[in-house]
Amino acid sequence: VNETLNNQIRRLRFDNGEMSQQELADRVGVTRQTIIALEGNKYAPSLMLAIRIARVFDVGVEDVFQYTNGSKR
Amino acid sequence: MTQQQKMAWFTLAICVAVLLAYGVLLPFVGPRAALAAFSLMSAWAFSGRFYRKRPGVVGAVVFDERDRAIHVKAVQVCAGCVYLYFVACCFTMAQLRRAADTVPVGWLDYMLWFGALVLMLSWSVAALVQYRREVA
Repeated sequence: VNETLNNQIRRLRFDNGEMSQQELADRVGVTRQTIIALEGNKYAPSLMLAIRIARVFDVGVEDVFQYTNGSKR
Repeated sequence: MTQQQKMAWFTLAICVAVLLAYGVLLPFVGPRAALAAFSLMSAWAFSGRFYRKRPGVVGAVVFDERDRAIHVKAVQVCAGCVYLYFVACCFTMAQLRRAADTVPVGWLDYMLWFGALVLMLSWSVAALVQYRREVA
């Protein structure tokens, strides 16, 4: 199964007053490099981090992260 | 570059410096005295500075869950490498000293120092490869 976790972090940052990666990183307690890796879909965050990010943008976790798998239904 | 990534580069640089120094000293002073090159490993004591928070910066994160995940995988690789190294040493000693049925105590120095080098080298390379792939 080809699993991917896409996210809308970049769009949500710009929708929230063009928040910088550093500001988001500080607010959720990670390094800026982790935000960069997340936006590039190169890192799958822990559940706690996913919830913290969603809370910063005041949206649900599934509005930020979308799980897809490559298997055909 | 994260602080752990800087530390991995620093560790790799120390390992390369040790190997270079050993290689340079070897023809002049012989294998035993060339082990002095391993004293360069003491520079690793300064690696803790990478995790110090900068004065005046409040709440700056220097180590997070992604760094931790990379560190854990790097330690797994490192443990595997050290184990293989230890097994290789045991087999080599048994093969070379089978007739005498003993191992010279001096060989243990080499085994320990090069073992420490394998440990540091494998951890730093494994961590840097993961940062390059950016998958954790």
